[in-house]
Amino acid sequence: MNKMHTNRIERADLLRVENPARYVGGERGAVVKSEVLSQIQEAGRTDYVRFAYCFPDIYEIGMSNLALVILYHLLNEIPYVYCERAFSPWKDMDAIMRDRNIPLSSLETRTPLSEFDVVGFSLQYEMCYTNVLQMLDLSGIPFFSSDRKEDDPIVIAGGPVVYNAEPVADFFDMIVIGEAEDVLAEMMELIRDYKRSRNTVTPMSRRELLLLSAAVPGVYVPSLYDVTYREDGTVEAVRPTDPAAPERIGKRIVDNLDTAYFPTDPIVPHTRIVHDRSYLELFRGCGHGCRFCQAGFLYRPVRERSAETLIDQALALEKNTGYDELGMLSLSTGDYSGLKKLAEALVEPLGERHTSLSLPSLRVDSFSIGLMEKVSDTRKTGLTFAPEAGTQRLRDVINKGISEEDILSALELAFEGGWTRVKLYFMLGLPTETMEDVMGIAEMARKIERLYFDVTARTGQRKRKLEIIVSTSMFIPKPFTPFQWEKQDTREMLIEKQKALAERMRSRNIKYSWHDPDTSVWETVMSRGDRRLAPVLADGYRSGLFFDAWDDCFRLGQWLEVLAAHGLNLPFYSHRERGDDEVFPWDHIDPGVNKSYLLLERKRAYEGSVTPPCRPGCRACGASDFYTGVCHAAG
Amino acid sequence: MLQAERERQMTMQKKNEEFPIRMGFERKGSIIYIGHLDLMRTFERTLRRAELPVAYSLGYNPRPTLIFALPLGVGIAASEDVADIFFSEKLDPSEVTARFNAKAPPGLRAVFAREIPESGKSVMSLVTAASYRITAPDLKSALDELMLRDEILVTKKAKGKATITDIRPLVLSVTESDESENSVDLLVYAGSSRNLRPDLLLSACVETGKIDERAALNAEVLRTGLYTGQYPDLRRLS
Repeated sequence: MNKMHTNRIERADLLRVENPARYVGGERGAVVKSEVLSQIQEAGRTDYVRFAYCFPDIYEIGMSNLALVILYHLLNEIPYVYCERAFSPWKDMDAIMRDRNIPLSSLETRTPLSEFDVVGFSLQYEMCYTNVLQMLDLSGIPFFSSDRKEDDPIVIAGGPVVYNAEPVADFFDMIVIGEAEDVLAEMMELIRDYKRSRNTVTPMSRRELLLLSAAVPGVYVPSLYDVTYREDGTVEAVRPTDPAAPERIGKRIVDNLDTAYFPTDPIVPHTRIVHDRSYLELFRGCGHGCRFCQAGFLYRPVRERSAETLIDQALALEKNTGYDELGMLSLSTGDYSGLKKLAEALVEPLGERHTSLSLPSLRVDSFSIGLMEKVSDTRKTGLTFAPEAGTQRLRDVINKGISEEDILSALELAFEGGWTRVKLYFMLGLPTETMEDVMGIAEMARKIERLYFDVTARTGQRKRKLEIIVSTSMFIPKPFTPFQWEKQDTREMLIEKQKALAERMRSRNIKYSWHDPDTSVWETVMSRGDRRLAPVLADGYRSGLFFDAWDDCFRLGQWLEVLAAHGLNLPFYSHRERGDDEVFPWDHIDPGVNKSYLLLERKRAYEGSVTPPCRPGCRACGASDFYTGVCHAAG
Repeated sequence: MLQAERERQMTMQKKNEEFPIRMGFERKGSIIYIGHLDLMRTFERTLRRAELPVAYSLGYNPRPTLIFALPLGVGIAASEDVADIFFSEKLDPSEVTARFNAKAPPGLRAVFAREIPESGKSVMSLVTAASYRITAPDLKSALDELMLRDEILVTKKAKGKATITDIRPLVLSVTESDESENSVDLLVYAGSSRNLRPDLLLSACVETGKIDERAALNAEVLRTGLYTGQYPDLRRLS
């Protein structure tokens, strides 16, 4: 394919940047198939697929992502697929690459991205969109799908944010909706066939490939849909333009986590990454239905991995990686039914090897305190809770099934055991919130402070430095949640709440930290946006805006100017309550949970009615159509 | 109560017997671009993967006991650097190298291992000199010119402060390498009392005007050995 540049990153470049290890690869477990590949290429064969797995943020963040680890190894298990990695170069290296005309290349074989068959982006958060453009730009690949020619790579995306990928839909040839394990393998076969046909007398066209792909369940081909808008700027309809494209694109999931692929000898970075440990994935989905939580609705139904499988995976991971820390991943680890069995089986073998195990804070009881003493690193990191709202009234509205008593009783045990660090996560700007709810956050922190002194007085323990860390983020009305019709607080309202709260929590034992409201406001635009935002993103990027996920790089003012230049505005996307019958830009994507159920949950929120979790009784959200996991078990 | 019990246990813990092994190692390829702390972590993980019984330090946050003779700068390869590793049991040194190499990442390899007495001096305090092989076009003539000078002044930056120092006394010898005409073998002071980083000498070479900055930064730098004793009676650290 295109061989536009030949310059490479040299030692002189690496010694001028922040962390050169980001750009060199060569880690243990990295899959390098260059020899096989050159043999195949010499033989003139085309029946292989080169896949560039792109993470649009720096190496240390991308390598911390479990999806990358799983899919990288899964793709490389397919004999004809050669998957390599690429990350966003940080601004220092970005400048060097532009200056020296160095194309963005894979870590494994230093192949420019433009020479790959597939360039696949993992989209984990909306603020990474401009980094997708950076990576395409540094590769000389056109941004818009419609500008790409037959010989350009096929640019695809997947990840949690693609349930509303509309702001970036025009950049991608195909988008994978849902869990990618099975569907990626199906796509690779199609792409191999396409590639093979290119050398025959009846070559398949790019458009033919897209039409065939659109028929694969879980594959969304944005170019096969047409969006029309009403005069008020809202979406009128999203319609397929070809019969091959389905009206609605359903998500794909993995049925059985015990048989699903999971690498137990994964790549281990040389340099310290953000989450520098190995991970177990206990389950997917979450049955709680917290009404603000997008993942809670998108990842249904709940599917657990058995404790037996996890024990095997844990022991293998521990030995193969050499990491001295094992984390547990899932939306609410404390709910895992086999937690006790798992922890008990791991405590001996991990303890012997000085490997720590992170346990969920909410499940603190006499059982887990003993375990934590032995294997957990929580003494350093502290206990973490996410009550999300400061009063029981508001916690009922958002359906957060955690009470003050849950937290206080867990903490009483923890304080008795000598823990002194507590982290609490809250959201500001939730629907129906009043100043009383905001101040409730301060009251809870104060109660925890008093509890500590009561416990130390009662037990006669030496008093240590108590550290209560309160952190607030801004509520974002995410698509596919019961709050998708809600509006977001303005920056000004939020700052006022933050100030009032900080005022009320002045204590040497309490630390208050808050998210930058600017980024939250823009995240709302990007998570709720429509296709009119693609040119906004492209223009913003061209004017120098990228690494938006990094507070010190993000410029809300500049973004609002670009938005205005395109005749769009912030209040339309962020501060406008939607009507019950509004067509959302994401309505043609189907995650399995019905819109009518979400609307019902919204009504229940305003009544302050709590909806219990999936177990024991089904709430008929729609996810049972997948016939698996908790829905199936409940029968 | 748990906390009190834990504290009692901690103070009662005695340091167990340890069995140190001195390991020589090489690093080359992409792993030369990691810093000292990352290299330490890589060693720890390799030892854990190899299931070698490393002795852990005491306290809340037990760490494997591992002492490197001299930190390796980012971008510098090594053919025989040295680290002391403390084990909790007596091991056959050849088994240590074999098991280490079976689990080491690409580019990192143990080249020797031998038992050393537990009461010996810290390996860091033994280092007095280091040899480097530096390869870059025009480097030889730049160094020839530098070595004719009585002093070589360079600006060192540390903690935001710039100081000017004379590095001429730190250079023990410069010889043409038999490897290639662009390679130079250097012997310099190294260790905790007097130490010359090769990049400082390279930046002084740039000042001569005989080699440009980019070529100097692109120079291949290989640490070929660490030495103990007083110059000129140096012995290779092994």
